[in-house]
Amino acid sequence: MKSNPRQNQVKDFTGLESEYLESIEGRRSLVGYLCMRTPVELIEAYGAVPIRIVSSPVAVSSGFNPIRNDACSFCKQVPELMKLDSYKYLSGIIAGSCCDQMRRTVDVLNETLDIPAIIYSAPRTYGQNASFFLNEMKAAFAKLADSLRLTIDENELHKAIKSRKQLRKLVNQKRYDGAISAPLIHKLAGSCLPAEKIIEFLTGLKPLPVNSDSVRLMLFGSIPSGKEILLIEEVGGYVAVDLTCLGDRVFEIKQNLPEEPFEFLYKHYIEHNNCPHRRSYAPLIDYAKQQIKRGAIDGIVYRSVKYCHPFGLAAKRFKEELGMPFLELDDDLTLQATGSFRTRLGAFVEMLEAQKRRKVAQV
Amino acid sequence: MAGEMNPRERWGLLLIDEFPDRPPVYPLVTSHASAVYGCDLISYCSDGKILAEAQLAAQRKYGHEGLSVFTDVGLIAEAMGSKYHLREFEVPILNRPIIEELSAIDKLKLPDPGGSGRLPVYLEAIEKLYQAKGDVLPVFAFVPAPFTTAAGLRGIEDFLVDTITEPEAAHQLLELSLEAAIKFCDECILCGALPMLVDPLASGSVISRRTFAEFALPYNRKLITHLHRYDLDVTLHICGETSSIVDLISDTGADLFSLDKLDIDIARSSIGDKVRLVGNLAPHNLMASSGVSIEDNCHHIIDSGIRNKKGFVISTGCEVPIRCQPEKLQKYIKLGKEARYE
Amino acid sequence: MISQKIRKLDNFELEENPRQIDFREWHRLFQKVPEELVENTRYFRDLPNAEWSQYLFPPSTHVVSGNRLLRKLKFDNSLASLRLWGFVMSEGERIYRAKQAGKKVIAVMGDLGAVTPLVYSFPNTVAFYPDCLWWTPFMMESKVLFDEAAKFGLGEDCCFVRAALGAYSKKAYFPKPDLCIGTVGATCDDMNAVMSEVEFLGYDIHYFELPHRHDKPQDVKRLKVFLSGQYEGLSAKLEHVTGHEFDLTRFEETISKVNRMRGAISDLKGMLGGAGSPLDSCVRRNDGRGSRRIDRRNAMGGIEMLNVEFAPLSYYGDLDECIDVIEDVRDTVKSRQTRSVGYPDQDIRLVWVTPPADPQLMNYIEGLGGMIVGSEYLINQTTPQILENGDPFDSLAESHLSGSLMGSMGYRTQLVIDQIEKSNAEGVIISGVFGSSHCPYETTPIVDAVRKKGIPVLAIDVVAPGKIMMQSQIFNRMEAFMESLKAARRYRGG
Repeated sequence: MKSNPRQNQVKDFTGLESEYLESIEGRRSLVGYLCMRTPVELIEAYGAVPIRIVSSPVAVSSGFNPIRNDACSFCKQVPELMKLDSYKYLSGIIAGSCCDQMRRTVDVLNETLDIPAIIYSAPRTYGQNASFFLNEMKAAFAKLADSLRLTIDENELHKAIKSRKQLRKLVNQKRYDGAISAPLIHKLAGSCLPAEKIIEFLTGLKPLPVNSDSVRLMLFGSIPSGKEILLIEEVGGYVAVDLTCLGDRVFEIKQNLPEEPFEFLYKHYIEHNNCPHRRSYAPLIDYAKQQIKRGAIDGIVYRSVKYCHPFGLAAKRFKEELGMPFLELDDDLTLQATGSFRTRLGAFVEMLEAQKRRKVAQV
Repeated sequence: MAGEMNPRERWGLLLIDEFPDRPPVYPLVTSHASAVYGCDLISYCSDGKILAEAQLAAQRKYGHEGLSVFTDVGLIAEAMGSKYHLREFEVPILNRPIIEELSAIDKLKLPDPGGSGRLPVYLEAIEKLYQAKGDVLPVFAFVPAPFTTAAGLRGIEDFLVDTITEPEAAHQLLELSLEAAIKFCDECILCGALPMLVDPLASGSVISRRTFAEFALPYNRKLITHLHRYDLDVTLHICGETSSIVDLISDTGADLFSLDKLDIDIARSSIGDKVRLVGNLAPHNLMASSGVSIEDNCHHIIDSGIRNKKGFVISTGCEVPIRCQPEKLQKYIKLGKEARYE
Repeated sequence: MISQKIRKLDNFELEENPRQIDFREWHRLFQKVPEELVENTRYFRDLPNAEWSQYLFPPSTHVVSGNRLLRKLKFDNSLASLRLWGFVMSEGERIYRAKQAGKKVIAVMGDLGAVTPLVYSFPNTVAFYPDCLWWTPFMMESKVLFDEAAKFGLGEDCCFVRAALGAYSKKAYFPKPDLCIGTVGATCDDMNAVMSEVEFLGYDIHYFELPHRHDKPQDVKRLKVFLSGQYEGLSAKLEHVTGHEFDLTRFEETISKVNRMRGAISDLKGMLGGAGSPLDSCVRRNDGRGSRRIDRRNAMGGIEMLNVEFAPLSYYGDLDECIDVIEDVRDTVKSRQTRSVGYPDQDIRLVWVTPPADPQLMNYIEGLGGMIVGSEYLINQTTPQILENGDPFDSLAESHLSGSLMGSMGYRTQLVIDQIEKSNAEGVIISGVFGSSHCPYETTPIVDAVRKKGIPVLAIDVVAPGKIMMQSQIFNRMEAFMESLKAARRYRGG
C-alpha cells in the first residue's frame, strides 16, 4: 500500500507519545486538564505530565451518568471518559473555569472520582482584577500540588515557558509552510510531550504535498472530537486553519506579554484567551478574520457540540460577522452523527468547489 | 426583521406616553372584513366565529394593527328589545325601537351580555380573536355609547325631541343605557378586549354643543370613569363633524379621540396635549369612485398627527367602507407604516 | 396633590375567608374596593403629582393588555394580593415612567438580586431586571420574545432568559437603560450569551465579576475581599452615571429598607412553612382513629409567594412601595393564621426548587391539594440580612456570598435539604429548564439527596408556551405525584 505522508505524521507522533508515556510510567504524575485556559507549563514545572482531556468516540454511556442529556455533550462525556485507559491513571484534574457547564462538570468529577478535580475562575473583563485571578490560578495549582505532593521547580517553569514559546513559533512557521497537517495539529495541541520533544519531531518535517484544487476550510467551534478533520479530508476538503481549542488557536502567539512567568502564563492562557464564553465575541471575530485571510479560506465548518452554550449560541453571530460560506454542524458526539456530517460536509465542499471553478472560469 | 415592534408593543408604548418607532396604523376595518372574507353581513353580524374569522382574514390581508369587533351601533339597544333589520349587504338598521311610549322606560330591563340579542356574538368574536392573536394585536370592542344606545331604544328623532321636551325621561333612558354599556364593557374586558366607545349620534352633525354637553358628555364621562377604575385607556369615536364640541372631548375623560370630519390641526391645537388622536382619512377616499389619490390626502393627516403631543394613531375618520377598493386601503396602510417619529 | 396617607391596607379584606379566585371574580370583587384605596395606592410617592402612578387594579386590567395567562390563573382573594399583583404587573410601565420623570434606570443582569441594594442607594435611581422577562412569554402565552431571540441564534437550547435578549432588541419592554450591569463568572451560560448579544446591539455593559465560590472557608474570605472591590468599582460607575457621590448615610438607609423587606419575606416564609410558625396557625383535627394530627392551612398562594420572593431582585422598580406591598402580604398571612383560616383542601406540604417560568404549574399543584411550604429559587443571595453599619462594600460582598448558583452543587443541594427540614415537607418539586446550563447538572444530585431523606421528588422541565401536549404530560405527572403523596399519607395513618 502506498504510504500517506499526512497519516504517517500522525502515526509517528502518536508512537512518540506512547513511547514517552511508557518511559515515565510510575515515575511522574499524570494531571488531566480541561480547557485551553490551563497553562501546561505549570503542570510540567510541578513535575507532572499534562494530559488534555478530549472527547472520544469510544466513550459511550456505560451506565449511570449524573449529568442529564440536555447538558453539553462533551461535558456529559467527561465522567465516561475517565473510565478509559487514557485517563484512568490520572492523579488529578485541573481546569480554568471556562463555562458554567465546565464548572459543574468538575463538581461532578469531584463527586464521582477519588482524585482531586480543581477549577479556578477566569475573568470576562480585560486588564482588570488580574492579581485576583492570577492568584486564583496559582492557588488552584498549589492545591493540586499539595494533594499530589508535588513541588514546583522554578527553573523548570522558566524552561517550559521558553520551550513552549519556541514551539508556538515553530508550529506557526511549519503550519505556514504546509509541513503540519490539520490532524497533526490536533495531536500537537493536546500532546503530553514536553515542548522540546515536539520541537525535535517537527524540525525534520517537510512541506506536505497539497492539492491546490482543494477547497480551503477553516474549522471553528467547540472542542473537536477528532473525527471532523478526517471527515472533511475524506470528502476532499482541506483544513487550512483550525480555530478550535485543539487547533491553531492553541499556538497563537500573543504580543506584549509580561516576562514574569506567572504573569505571562496568566495573560497568555487566561486573560488573552478568546473563548466566547468569558469574552465578548469581538476579539475572537477579529482573530478569525485574520486567520481567514492568512489561510485564504473558502468556507467555514462551524461545529458546535450539542448544548455547548458558548459556541452553540454564538453560531449565528459568527456566521453573520464572518460573512462567508458557513456550514453549521451540531454534534452530540454520537457515532450516528458521523453519517449525516459526511453527507453535509460533502455537499458543502462540492458547493465550494463549484464556486471555485466558476471563479476560475470567469478569470 | 430583528428589532421590529409588533402592534401590541406599539400600542403599549403609546398608552404610557412613549413614542414607539412610528404610530400604530389602525384604519377602522369593521364590516369591510366581511367582503374580504367573502361572507354576507347577516352572517358577519350574527355569528361570532364568522366575525372573528373575517377580522383575521382582513388583518392578514392588510396588516393593520388592531382587530375591531363591531357590527352596528344598535347592538345594546337591540339587546334591550329594539328591533333591528339585518341586511345581506348593508349594516343593520333600526326597525322598531322598544320605547314607543315614555312610560315603557320603567319596564326596560338591562341586557344579559351572555344571552341578550347579539351581545354573545360579540363576546364570542372577542374571545376567538384574543385567543388567536391577543399577544400581538390589541382587540378593540366597539361599544355603543349611552347617547347612541338611548337613541336606538327610543328612535332617533323621538329621542332628540325628548332631549328638549322630556329631558328627565331622556336622562332616565340614558342612565339605563349607561348601565347596560358598563355591564357589556365588563364582559368585553373579561374576554380580552379594550372597549372603544362609539357615539355617532353625539356628532356635531346631529346635535348641538348644548345637547352634547348635557346629554352625551356626562354619560360618556361616567362610562369612561368606570373603565378608568380598571386603568383602561378609552377611545371615544364620534362620527361626522365635531368642531363644535372638540374642546369638550377631554372633559369626557377619553384617552384617545377618534375623529372623523374634523381638521386634525384643529383637534391637535384644541386637545392634542391631553388626548391622543386617532384619524382621520375620509373613508370615501378609499372608494374606487373617489378620484383623489391616497398620497395627497394622507400627507397632511400623517404629518400633522405625528406631531400631536400626546400621541397619534393613523386611522380612518370612520369605518372603512364595506366596498372600499382594497388597493387604496393597502396604499394608505403602507404609507402609514412608512411614517417615523423623528 | 395626591394623598400620601394610605400606605398600608391594615388587613382590610374583601371577603372573610381566604380562597383562590380567577380573574373574572377579581374583576367583580374589585368593585368593592374602596375608591379611596384605588386612588391612593400609588408608586413613586416622591412624585406626588404623577397622574399615572396608581396600580391597585385587578388582573383583568392586564388581561386586556395581552397577558393571556392571567385568565387561567387562580389568585388569592386578599386586598394584599390584589396590591401585589397590581404592583408586579405594572413594573414595565413603572420603569418607563421612572425614565420620563428623570430617574436613572439601571438594568441589572445575571446577579439575581445581589447588586440591587447598591443601585438603590443612589438618589433618584431605580433598577429593573431584564432576566425576569422570562415570565413575559408565559404571561402573554406568546412566542414573540423567543422568536426575536432566535433571530440572534438563541433558540430552544437556551434557557427562557433568552426572552431578555428579545426585549432588548425590540425596545418596547423597557426604556434604554442609563447603565447595564452584567454579573459574569459563576453565573449561567445562557445569560452570558444574552449579554454578548446585547453588546452587539450597542449597549455598554459594566461587568461585575463573580468568581466561583469553592465553598471552603479560606476561599470564601479571599472572595469576599474581591467582591468588595467589585462593589467599589460598581459604586464608582454608578457615581458617574447618576452624577451623585456615594453617600454612606443614604446607603445605610437603603440597606435598612432592604433588610426590612428581606425580614418580611423571611417572616412570611417562616409563617407559611417553617417549624417556627405559631401553633395558632394550625387546625387540630381528629382523624377518626383517636389520634390527632396538626394540619396547617395554606394561607397564601404559591404564585403570590413567588412574586414576593422575587421582589428583592429589583424591588419591582420602587423600593419604598415594594416594602409596603410585601408587608401587607405578611400582615394578611399573619392575620389569617391568627384566625386559623386558609384555603380549604390544600395541605400536602411541598418544597419547590427552581422558580417555574410558568406560574400555572404552581396553581395546578395547589389544585391537587398541595401547599408550597418552602422554596429554593436560586436567589439565596437575597435572603441574608446585610450588615448595616459595617464597611458598605464588605457588607454587600458578605451577603452576595450566600448565592445559590455561584458555588458547588453540594451547596445548593444543602439549601434544598434545609428547606425540607425547616418546613417538614412531604414532597419536593423541581421545575427545571431544558437546555439551561445548570439544571442538567443539579437535578440528579438534588433528587438523590432528597430521596436519601426519604422524601419523594418530582423533577419536571417547564414547557414553553403553546406546547399544549407536552404541558398535559407535566400535569399528568403532577397528578400521579400528588396521588402518591396522598397514598403515602394514608399509609402512615395521617
